[in-house]
Amino acid sequence: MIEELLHKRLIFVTGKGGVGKSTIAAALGSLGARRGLRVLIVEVDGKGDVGSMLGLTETSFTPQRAAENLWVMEMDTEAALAEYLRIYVKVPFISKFPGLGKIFDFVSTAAPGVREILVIGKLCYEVRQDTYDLIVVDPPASGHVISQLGVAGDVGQLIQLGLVKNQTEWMLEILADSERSVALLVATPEETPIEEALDLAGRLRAETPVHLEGAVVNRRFVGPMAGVETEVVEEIRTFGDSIAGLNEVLAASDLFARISDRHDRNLRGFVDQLGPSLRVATVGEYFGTLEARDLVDEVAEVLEVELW
Amino acid sequence: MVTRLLESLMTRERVFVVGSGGVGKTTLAASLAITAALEQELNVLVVTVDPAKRLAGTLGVAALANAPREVELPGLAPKGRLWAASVDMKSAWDDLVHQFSPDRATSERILASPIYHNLSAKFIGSYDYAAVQVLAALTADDRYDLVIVDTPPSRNALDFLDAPARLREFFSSPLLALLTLPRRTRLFSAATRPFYIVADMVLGSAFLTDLTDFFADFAKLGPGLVEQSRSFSELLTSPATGFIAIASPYGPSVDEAHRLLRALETRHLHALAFIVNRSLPGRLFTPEAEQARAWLEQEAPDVLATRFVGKPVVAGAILRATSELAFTHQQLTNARARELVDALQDVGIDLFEVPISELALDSPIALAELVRSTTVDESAGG
Repeated sequence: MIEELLHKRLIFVTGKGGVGKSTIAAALGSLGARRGLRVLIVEVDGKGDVGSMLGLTETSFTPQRAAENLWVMEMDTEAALAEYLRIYVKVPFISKFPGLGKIFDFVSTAAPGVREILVIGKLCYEVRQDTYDLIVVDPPASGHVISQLGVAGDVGQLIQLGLVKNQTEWMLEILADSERSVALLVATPEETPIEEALDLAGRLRAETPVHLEGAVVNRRFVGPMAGVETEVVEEIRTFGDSIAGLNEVLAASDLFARISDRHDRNLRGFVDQLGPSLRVATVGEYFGTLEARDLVDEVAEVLEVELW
Repeated sequence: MVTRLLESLMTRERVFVVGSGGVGKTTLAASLAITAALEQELNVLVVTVDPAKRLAGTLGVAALANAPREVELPGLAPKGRLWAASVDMKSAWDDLVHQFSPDRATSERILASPIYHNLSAKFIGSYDYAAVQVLAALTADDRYDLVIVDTPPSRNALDFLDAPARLREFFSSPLLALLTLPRRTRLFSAATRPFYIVADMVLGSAFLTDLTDFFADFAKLGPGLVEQSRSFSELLTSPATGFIAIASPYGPSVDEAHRLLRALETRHLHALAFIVNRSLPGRLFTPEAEQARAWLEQEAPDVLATRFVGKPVVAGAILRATSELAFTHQQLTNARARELVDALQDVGIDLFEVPISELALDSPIALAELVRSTTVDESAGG
């Protein structure tokens, strides 16, 4: 049922820093592109991670083609503002005042929400323009994404007149439509990320119009043993002292198993607390053994099986 | 090796824990603070600037706030005392408005403004400013012998450290001056006319008026905020302040680690130590263990087959059951962690490894255990 997800127009891949949002976003994008959708991945944080994972040496506000049907762009609020003014404010003298951009930039830094609305505005604009079938967004870490996703409503309340007011209405419509826009939550099975992901899930539901569709628990240690394998290990233990180094290998294996157990416990708690309406996919830890591009493909395959 | 890490801590009055998201800053900051309070007769304060609420639960207190509260360490018999605080952005901003407004009318107008409400409670960037101000107060408080600060998550691990300078830049900006000119003057100013025409169209004149009125009031906080942020900048570069950088051995961390340390250096900040968090314990991955893995692969299946007659014992099962971690560890060690160590050779600070924990890190006891398991990498500079 991954189709259901890939047929949304806008997917926000959310979560705390360091949990692998970029990898998940790149994998989802690749998956969509491989199935023939025209996909745009938008990196809002601007570290260039998604681009480099997909083999691009640089990314920019202008989408770069990373593979067939797959483009990556980096959100640049100044460029978004320039584009906005060009499209909506058809005032001929703008180009004659180079300082104007600077003042606007200052106001957008100082005035609450202007930057955020430019980002969300650009994303919703792309949805409306219909150039892409699917837009996957790799937004900044936890707290910031709430400001960004909640901004259309907040600014709508704050600004009662003007062009922006009208703009926030159609933006809200796109964001609040769960057929078109959804959020996907990413966490790792450690205590802090799980706790923060649950907190984020609550805030996404309470403070933003975007529908939380599901979650991905990334970098899980998958327990290596079951059934006969456990028996084999018990048997191998009897050789422990006679083979040099064997006890260390067994201890390493035990450690791995205990961490797996801990991850399983955290995962169960996460699933319970998220509630039955959310689907949770898990992706194993690859220990940096794969090159970025291969990792994205591998994770894409896992998601295809695990998700929906 | 906990002693050596503690010794590093003890040389400072304040220690900032920095690193990119997800490397375990909050957990390690709390662990270090607990360990310091256990081992030394000191008043130790840990401040989390991370919006994460989990730390309170782990420490066994109901909630953390801007004002430090004491944390009991049951069953640990600490020599010193531990205090904890977290930065609550909304109340931090409210305090600042009260503290730096020239008069009550100004502070009341600011506090009532919807723009202020959004600025203080929601929008990006304002968190760093509030954090800086709270930390300025806490780190200057001489009731605490050692203050350990967990820094906020951000795109750049050091964004937060640049907040004081950005704040000063903001208040000295000619653009703010333009924006807060008396309304009459502003309307007749040729330089800003195009801006106002466009801004009127885009944002609406009502919002623009609200905005400029708000900034006219907000600018009055400038002198106080600027003064405090300047002394905070001095405090950051003071020899009594140290920085502990944290990285994870997974993922592309070598460049990041280097960038982080260089960034500290260019800001004249004192790096104390580098911690590679969640590393796999080296004692389990000896050359003998490598040979044992070869035995498991080549000979064990035959040996075991005689004992498991009639059961489908396959070499793959043995491998998965016994050597998956060893295998992946070697990949890691060779490809990442050693690179990290090599990359840090020339930096000349202590390098520690905190092994990945098999315990849930949900109590002060577990956190203290985490620091106890730290190893030092002797190959790095010292």
